[in-house]
Amino acid sequence: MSEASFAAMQLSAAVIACVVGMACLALALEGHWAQVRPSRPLSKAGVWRLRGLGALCLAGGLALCMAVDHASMAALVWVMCLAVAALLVAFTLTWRPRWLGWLAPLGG
Amino acid sequence: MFQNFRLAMAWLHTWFGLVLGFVLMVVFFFGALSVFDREIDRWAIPATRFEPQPMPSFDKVLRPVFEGMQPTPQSLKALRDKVDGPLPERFDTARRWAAYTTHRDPVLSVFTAYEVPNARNPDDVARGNLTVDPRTGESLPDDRLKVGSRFFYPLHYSLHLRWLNLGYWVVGLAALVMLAALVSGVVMHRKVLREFFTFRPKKSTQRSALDLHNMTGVLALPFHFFFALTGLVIFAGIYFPVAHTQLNPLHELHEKLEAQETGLPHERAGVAAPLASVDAMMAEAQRRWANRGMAGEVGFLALQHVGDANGYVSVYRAGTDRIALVGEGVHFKASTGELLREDPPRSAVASVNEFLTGLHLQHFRHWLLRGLYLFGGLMGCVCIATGFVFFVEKRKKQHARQGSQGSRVVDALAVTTVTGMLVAALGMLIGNRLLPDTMPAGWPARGDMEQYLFWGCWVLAMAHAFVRSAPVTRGLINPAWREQCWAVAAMAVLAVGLNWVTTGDHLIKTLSEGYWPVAGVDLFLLGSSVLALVAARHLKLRTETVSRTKQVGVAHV
Amino acid sequence: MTSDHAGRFVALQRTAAALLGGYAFTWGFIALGMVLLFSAGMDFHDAEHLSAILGFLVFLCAFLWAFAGRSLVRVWAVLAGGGLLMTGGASLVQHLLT
Repeated sequence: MSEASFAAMQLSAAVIACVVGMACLALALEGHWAQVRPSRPLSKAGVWRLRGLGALCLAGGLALCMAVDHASMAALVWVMCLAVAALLVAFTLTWRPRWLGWLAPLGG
Repeated sequence: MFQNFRLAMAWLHTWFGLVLGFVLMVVFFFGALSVFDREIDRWAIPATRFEPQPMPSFDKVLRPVFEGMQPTPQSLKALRDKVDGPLPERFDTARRWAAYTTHRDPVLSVFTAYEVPNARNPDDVARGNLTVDPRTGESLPDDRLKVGSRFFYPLHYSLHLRWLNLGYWVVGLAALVMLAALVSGVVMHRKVLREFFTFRPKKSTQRSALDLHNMTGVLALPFHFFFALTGLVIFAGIYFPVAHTQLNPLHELHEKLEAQETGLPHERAGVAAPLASVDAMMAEAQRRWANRGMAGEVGFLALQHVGDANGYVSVYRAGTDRIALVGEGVHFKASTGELLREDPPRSAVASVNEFLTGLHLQHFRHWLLRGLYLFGGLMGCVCIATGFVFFVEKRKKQHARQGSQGSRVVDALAVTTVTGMLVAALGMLIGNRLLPDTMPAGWPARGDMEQYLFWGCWVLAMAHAFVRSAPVTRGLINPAWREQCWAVAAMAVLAVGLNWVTTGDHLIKTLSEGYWPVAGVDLFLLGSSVLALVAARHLKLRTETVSRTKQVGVAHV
Repeated sequence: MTSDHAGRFVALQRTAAALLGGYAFTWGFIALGMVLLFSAGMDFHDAEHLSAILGFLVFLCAFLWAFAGRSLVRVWAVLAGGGLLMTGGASLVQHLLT
């Protein structure tokens, strides 16, 4: 695989990691949890599990960005990825909240 | 003035956000487009639709170009008031010759600065510039406007208001207010974390507009803050010209010390000297960079004190793989090619400054990051536009009852600034494709015509927005929003169609060849058309809902 | 807030303090910063850039405080007065250096 396409794969993975991370952080909020799992309550342990995994995924995204570019460029890429990821998650929650259902087991 | 900090910040955010929001909309939108300014240039000037080129040979290609250059008519016009006596017929003493290219440039920009014999201020120069095809040395006709890099981009930082640098000051004020609006916005948003992902489009216009405003503002907050701050830092010399005014003595002292330290002469010697092979100098510079483990292309080439014994040549490395624009300067004596100086590594402060300015100006190669920048800029536009919508929605009904025109005026201005701005940009692109290659005698130059079309379309859009705004005084939606959305949708498709008809570079062709500059612009235009159609439909549904509610209200009375 | 006209007048005063007072204070900050950093041995252009970068953040704070500060008199005194003092100080230090 060429260097450029490997870098592209790593950056794609970084974006995905940021999206999953943001989704976890969103589900840790009562209002959004209720959108995805209206029947079950969100336990305190669940909140911390979701937040923990969320933070881990975001950190993983940063690590992937750093593997592709030097630190100062990677930091910029990561911050922008966070914004886009958060927006994607917000729009998913607005129109297709059930698509985030697969993360629910963590909170229950 | 206010009972507490939060109320003060809310007032500040509302009123300064509203007034400077009109400026910020323009700054953000054309700033976002400027990320792909050179790609827009390719679309606008079909003759330049070839692959990016490296810096060409100076000795064979650039030297004849530079030697044949003279100042531009605009530069001479600006100088007439600054000289005692007549301007010379020919300008032969060049203070500086420079060429700049990036990894995205098929054509090369070259610049010259000439000594002006009778100038009152010895620092004043006559300037020349040209765009050349680096493969042949042929120059582009003067009247081809680079719609991206020479119109949209300067519009973004100066509003094309060059008199007394007024445009720079207005944009600077807008940037400062942007920073204040971001801070005050967070202070007044009580549920910043709880509502981080909240968007409720099915609720009232006021609520959903506010949700979207908060979201696009908060989620991209670091982006918005840093771009406003770094924009100010880039033009700090204009806003706080301390070194050239109050602290000029200190500045002069430093210049003398620096000239001694670096060995790069500050003044001409007054003795003529030949020019050694600049190609050899460029090759030597590249060899030195490779030795330091940072092999790279020449991004910026400059000759100072041309033709003089004190002349020197500076070769800078293109910052394609880093945030800084150019760096690692290597300087040679012009007459002999002997090495004078290799720039030492940057100090900590210089690195921070290069990082801040470089992250804003982004000449680096990183397509994902550039794409994300475009997205962030558009998020900023949505933030400002929804701010306008929220402002009007919140006050519309009250103003309708009071018989006030306030909401109507703000709403019409909002239409002008949001959809009207898009109409103007599209009108310019359509004109770019429809105008003849050379304008008939007596008409303004082609590039000027394109600019008149831009401003003309904008004025028309403004007139339309105001003429149609009467319903706002009754608490209804201004139909101009929907009508201009339709116009945007139609004009965007027309622009893509005209590109096909006039150049033959339709989407299937450009996509299959992988010529992304033109394909990208066409795709962006088509995408915009779809978004405009979705918006128009949404507005239609809203308008119908509102009028149904009004009818019900009347029936109940 | 008081009546409409009085309210608008106060708003204008606060805006003037924020823009003019803020600009004066920032100019003084940048000028003083430059001479002090330069005299401490920093390269001139480094001192210029660092002072400017910090200066814009200072301007932002001054701008916000001009509206949030309780007493308008105090705002003017600090911003305009402080700006004048720092600018004067910068010229004094420059005089000693050149």
